[in-house]
Amino acid sequence: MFKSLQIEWMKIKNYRVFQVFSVLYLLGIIVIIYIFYKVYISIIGELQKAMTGANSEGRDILGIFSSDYLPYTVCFWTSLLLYLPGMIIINLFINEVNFKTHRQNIIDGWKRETFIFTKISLIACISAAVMIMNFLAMVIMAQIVDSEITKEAVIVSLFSFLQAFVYLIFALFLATFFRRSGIAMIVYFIYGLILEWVLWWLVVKIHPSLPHFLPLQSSDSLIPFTRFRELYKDLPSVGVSLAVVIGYALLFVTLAVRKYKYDDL
Amino acid sequence: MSAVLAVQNMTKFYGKVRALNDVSFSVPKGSVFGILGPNGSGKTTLLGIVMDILKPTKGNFLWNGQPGSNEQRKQIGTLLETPNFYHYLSGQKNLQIAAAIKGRGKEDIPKVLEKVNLFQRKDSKFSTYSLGMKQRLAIASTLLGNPDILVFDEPTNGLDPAGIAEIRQLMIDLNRQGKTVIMASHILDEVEKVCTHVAILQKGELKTVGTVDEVLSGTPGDRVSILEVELAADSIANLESVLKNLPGIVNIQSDNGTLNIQCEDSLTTSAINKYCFEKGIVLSQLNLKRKTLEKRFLEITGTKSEH
Repeated sequence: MFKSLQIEWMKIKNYRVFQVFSVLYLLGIIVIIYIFYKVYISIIGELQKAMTGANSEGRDILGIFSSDYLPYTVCFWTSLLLYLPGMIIINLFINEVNFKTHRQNIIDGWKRETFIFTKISLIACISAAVMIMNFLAMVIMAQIVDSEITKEAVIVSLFSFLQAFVYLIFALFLATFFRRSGIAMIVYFIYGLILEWVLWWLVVKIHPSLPHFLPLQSSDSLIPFTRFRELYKDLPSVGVSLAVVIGYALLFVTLAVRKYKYDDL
Repeated sequence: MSAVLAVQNMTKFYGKVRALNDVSFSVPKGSVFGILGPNGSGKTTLLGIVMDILKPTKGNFLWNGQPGSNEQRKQIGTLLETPNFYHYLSGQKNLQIAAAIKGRGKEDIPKVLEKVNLFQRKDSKFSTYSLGMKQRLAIASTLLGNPDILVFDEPTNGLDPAGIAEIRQLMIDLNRQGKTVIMASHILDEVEKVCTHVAILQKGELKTVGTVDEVLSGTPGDRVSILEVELAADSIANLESVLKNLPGIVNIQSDNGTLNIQCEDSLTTSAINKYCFEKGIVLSQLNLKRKTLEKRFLEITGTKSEH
């Protein structure tokens, strides 16, 4: 698999869209949390000034950047950018279909499974990069707010790996299914930003915990905005969430592999 | 001769459309095997199946007596349908990817680029190549690792006349080196000039298969083969009336002072000559016309294009 990943790297390292989107995304992880922090401090300062006349002096009075909550706050905000690497995955796969290189790789001697598992390995690598960048963002923010990095930061970083993996493997599944960049991206955005919220609204009436079992929401639920955990009182336990997330990851892997292995290319 | 490729009862449906129907044939080792057929006859579908990018509905195939596998495909140089490369990479980088997948080193790359006259443009992006250059790069890719089996689907697509002649010569040279070349084409002249064997497909049906000579002469598979003979005599009208009574004559056409007759292959030129002489006609011309693959192809498939 390492060899096929090396070949994958040969394919994408000179692809300008991949280069630009990757740099934008990885920098965006640091930038989005820093912007949130500055806005948050500014708003809190203004509110406190209006209510008490006292100056908050840029203090985190809600404690969302305290040692306990910093990892969750960071990963919650950076997860909003996960659609960007999702678009990269769709673009890379559909490029192969458009250039018919997904056929040529097989003709040249790859197994169909090798092709699709290489894409899944690439997703694992990108998810690992997301995890590392999230941890880096925690370290930087801890320095800025004079907080500490705890064991929780490592655990939440690992959760962010799983969250990124589910978002990206879902994108790959859609790309294998639709085979057209535009359609796959539209469905990806519509599902993630609209349809899943509609489903949330529908299933919450059946049971308040059910929305946390939806494909993308289940991974979001691993990293809630825990300073306000009362908003998530129906959150399943971490163990259950982990099982659901891993289940969805395996399901999308299986569907993508089956689609690629048995269909005409 | 052992079979490099054996296709057995291959059937392929796209939904309700039958692209291949129970096709079986073998490609002998060391041959240049042409798969000939009009557009939509199933040539590319057949090659797609044996290269594992399409799944057959029924039937199977063997490469060198073994079921198809990715390790076998690494040993086969294949150009299927269109040149498939990464548009944003150079020709050389694209070949590096193909070589890596085939498990070959980079040492072959300059050699194959030289062979197809692309070495000077090796660092240009694939997207800047002309159609002919793209085709040449695809052919270069098939030569990586010096494979013993080559599969070409319409290999001269997009090439200028000089390029077409070069590629045809390349295929003949490869065959002289002992390599087996399997080539799908709808260009009859190309198949006739290059191939030793031919299979003719129409609407997914295998119409005939054999050596080019066998197919031209009407065997195998045909009950009666038709020959064409050109004749002339002092009186064409007398000659025509005499020949009308000769058993085995299928058709007679007058053409600018000569007669073109079609007759069953049981009728030899010497028998025609003898018959005419006995009827008091001395022939001034008697030529057995060699049937071209084009004529044979049209006899088998009809004259209309399917698309």
